[in-house]
Amino acid sequence: MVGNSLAQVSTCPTVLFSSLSTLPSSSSRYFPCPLAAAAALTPAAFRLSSRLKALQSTCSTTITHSYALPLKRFNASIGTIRGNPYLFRSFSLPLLLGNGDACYHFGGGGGGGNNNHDSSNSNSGWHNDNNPSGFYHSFLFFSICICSVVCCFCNFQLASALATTTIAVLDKSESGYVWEVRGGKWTMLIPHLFEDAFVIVPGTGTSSSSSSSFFLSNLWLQCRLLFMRLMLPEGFPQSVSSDYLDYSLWRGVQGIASQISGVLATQALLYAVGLGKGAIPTAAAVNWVLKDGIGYLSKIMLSKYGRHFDVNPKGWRLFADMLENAAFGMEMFTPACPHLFVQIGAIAGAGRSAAALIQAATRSCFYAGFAAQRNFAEVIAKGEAQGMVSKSIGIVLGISLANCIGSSTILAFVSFSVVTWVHMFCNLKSYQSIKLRTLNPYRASLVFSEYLISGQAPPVKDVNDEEPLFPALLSLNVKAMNKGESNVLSSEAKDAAAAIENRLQLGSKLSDVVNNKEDVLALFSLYKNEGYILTEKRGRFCVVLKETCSPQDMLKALFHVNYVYWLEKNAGIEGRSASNDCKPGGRLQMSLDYVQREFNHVKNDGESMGWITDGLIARPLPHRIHPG
Amino acid sequence: MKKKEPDKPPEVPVYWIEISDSISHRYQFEPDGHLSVSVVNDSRPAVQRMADSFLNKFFPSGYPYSVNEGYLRYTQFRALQHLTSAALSVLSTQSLLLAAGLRPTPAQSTVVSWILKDGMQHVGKLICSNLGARMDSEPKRWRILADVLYDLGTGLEVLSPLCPHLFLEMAGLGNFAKGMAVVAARATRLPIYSSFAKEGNLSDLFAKGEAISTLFNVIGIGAGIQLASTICSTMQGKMVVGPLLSVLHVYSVVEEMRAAPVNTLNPQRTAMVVADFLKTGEIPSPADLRYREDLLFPGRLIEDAGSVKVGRSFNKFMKPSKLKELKQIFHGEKFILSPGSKWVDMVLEHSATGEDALKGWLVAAYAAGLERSNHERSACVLKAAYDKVNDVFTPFISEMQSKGWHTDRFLDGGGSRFAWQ
Repeated sequence: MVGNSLAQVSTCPTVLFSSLSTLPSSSSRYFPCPLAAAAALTPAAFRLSSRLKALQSTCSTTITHSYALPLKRFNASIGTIRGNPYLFRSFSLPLLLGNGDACYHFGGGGGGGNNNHDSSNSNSGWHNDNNPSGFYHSFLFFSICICSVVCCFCNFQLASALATTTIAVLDKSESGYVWEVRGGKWTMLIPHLFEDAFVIVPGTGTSSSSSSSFFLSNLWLQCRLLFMRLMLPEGFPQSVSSDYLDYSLWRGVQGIASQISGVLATQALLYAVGLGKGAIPTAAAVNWVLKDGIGYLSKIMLSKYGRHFDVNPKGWRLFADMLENAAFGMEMFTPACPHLFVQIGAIAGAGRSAAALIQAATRSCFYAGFAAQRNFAEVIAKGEAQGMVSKSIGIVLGISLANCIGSSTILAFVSFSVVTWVHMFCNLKSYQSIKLRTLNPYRASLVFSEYLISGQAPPVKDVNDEEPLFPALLSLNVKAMNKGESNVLSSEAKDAAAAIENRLQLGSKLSDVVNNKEDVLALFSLYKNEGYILTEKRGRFCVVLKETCSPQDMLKALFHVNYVYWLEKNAGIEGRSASNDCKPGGRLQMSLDYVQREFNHVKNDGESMGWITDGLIARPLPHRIHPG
Repeated sequence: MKKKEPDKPPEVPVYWIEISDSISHRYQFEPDGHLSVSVVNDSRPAVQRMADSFLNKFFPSGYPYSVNEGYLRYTQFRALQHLTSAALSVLSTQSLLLAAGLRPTPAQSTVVSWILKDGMQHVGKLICSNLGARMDSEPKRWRILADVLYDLGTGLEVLSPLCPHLFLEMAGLGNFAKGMAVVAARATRLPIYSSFAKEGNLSDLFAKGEAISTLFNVIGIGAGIQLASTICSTMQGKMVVGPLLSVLHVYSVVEEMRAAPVNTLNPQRTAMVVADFLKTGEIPSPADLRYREDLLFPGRLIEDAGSVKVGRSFNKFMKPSKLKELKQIFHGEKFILSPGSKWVDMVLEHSATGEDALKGWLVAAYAAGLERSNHERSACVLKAAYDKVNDVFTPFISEMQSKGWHTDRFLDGGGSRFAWQ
């Protein structure tokens, strides 16, 4: 929607302003945003900006256009000046995070308005800021500069939408230049005037800093770009999913907190064994034996729960963080009873390495979701870099905190609990910001029941907000903070999802669910063409998986379960014996008929909402059957 | 729904086979209505059965249904790789401690240089984290490179007692290499694992993989301690055993990587798919291609697939006039082919997917075939090939997807792409 209006605006051959501010004269000299400063450095830009100011007051056709954006101070500016030899068009979208961590900017600047490109784009009408890292600016940044103060993550989604639009708009015009894209770096190539060749438009990153006062801000810009190149995946934000930035920022903070806890805990351990500062080799040896040696064992023990991690990664991850903090806490506790040093240290070590295993395993699950362009390695490599930075900060802070605390137990406990609280809070926030697009039994039930009730699959975000972190332990659940918003999901659907989650048994043994020969024959013939057999036994929905069953079949089975549940709730059709249910008009026959007709619809509908409907991510019992 | 008539084919015994934890039971209804159970062809000796159930702990649940082909071989070599690597690390640590002890410096500065050496690892990590996009394109190659780097680092550490005065330099450089290796190995782990994951069981694969590597790390450390206290207590012994272990290590990594059926499209795999398709009319599955991939020189030209090069710098081969001409042929496509003297350059648009790349490759391959047969040149050949591809393309893509390829992305690593104006 935004894209459309942008395209429409850009082709309008008038002076267009989208601006909430009235270009104060000082704003052209002082730019809070270094990107904008660099962009407005060219003399032409200055000339144009002054001309524009004049125009602004006199121009008869001024169209003000502002977008309804999450934050109103953010806007995009487009200006086309007719009759000006310096034809200009610019789209710009500077975004600056409030904490100054990262800044993304994408804009295309071009010579030649859409109407008169043939006349003027190949001569001197070219003023394009083109720094080596691929941020193109023209001018008209004044209003945007204000918004660079804004810290608003959701703008990123808009940024990508507008960025693609910009490309699309550029596509349509037919001038002879080409952008070369290498990773996140855009270079412009234009045809040579006289020869049949392309020339690279030289980067203006350094050449534009003619006066020394801009040199510093330019340097700052370069540093920022370098930092972004090191810390964010190439092609950010298009190359990752929209929840990536939120997650990474929270992770960064929790990394610092966890490192501080680590330093404090280690110090406590050292005090407990009677080592002062400076006994590094011994401490390392002690640490190694306890932490790694015993930890290896717990890793092996824990690995058999691997499938649980897939089905419910967020809950397990939070559990791992709690385990980690508990381990730190125990280590902190050792100075109080030094005689139990080895025992406590061993348990803490086991807890810590178990936590490390869960963290590593679930991290892969999250990263796989972030890698929107199958750029796994890039996302992980950048994750390592981010982790390194927050760890180093954490270690420095931790050491200085440890110095302040000394051997005072009370102080140590106070600071430890504060740090732990910060740590857990950041963890919680980071997991809540992740939007998993895969379907596990709970999410799938929610999506399907909502579909059955309202005829439409719910969006990814609402379902993720609704999903409890620990489905098994309902009392422990931490509700998402935004209670007021998620009214998209009906309460019936939520109840249905919870009930189905409880009553579902995937991968049952057929020998357990059938009583007599007739049932078996009826079930076999009814489900002849399906990869599963669904029947009900003592109130449980038992799904027996055939040997050939694919994850897609499991998803279908779950849809079937949902429909059977819906029938039970709304039509009051109770199950009788399996052979009766399989007769024409029987419950299973009817529902299977419906499922076969409707499953592709619900799949497509879910896909259009962003769900990955390739299959169900579940943890079936390890029983499969091969009908004779 | 006609099938549900229980028109009992009389007295065909009703039975089914239930498979749980790789043991098959045959269930059958006896005529008297009672259910009988028998274990099917489990002729394994008791020892092996125990070993199997132990091994099951280390395999993803639902194995072998839940993973793709090649997982077993991958795991075997992975175990060997971790064993050798852990043994090597014991040797290198021993050497390092020895070298640090040989230095005629006060303890304080030894500690400082120890820390500096560890700091070098972070530098290595930072540098390597910049190359992530290339790792996505060639995960196997980078993984092998990572282990070679790791062995180089270890080698430097092993050699450090030979020149204790250069301790910091040697150990630092070693750790630098190790840091790069660690990032590369970790980053490529997910692309490799995800090629095995069949049922979205990525975390499970990961956890089980960690368990295996942990187990063999422990064994390897044990072996390393044994070696360090016997054969390798002298430098000569180390010089013999070290390279041996290292060769074994790299060999097992190479085998491990070759076993992984990576199912994303990079230039080499695309070219191989197209070449196979033209030769046999069949599309190979990821598992078919895995042993034929060239991991050392992924950029080599494949003549059967039209000798396409992708991702070269634009101004090296393109002229404005040529561009205009080519754009008319490939109107509305996200790729452009530019035939050169030795190879064909392919230009991909910024948002091009794997399907666009495949299409471009097919056009190039057809054009090369036409050229060979009737020696025409350039534009009209391209045009003819393009028309031909348009006919076969839709079934081609659906066949690709059914073979398990991910055609939504084309991973060209650090190559250039373009946005038209």
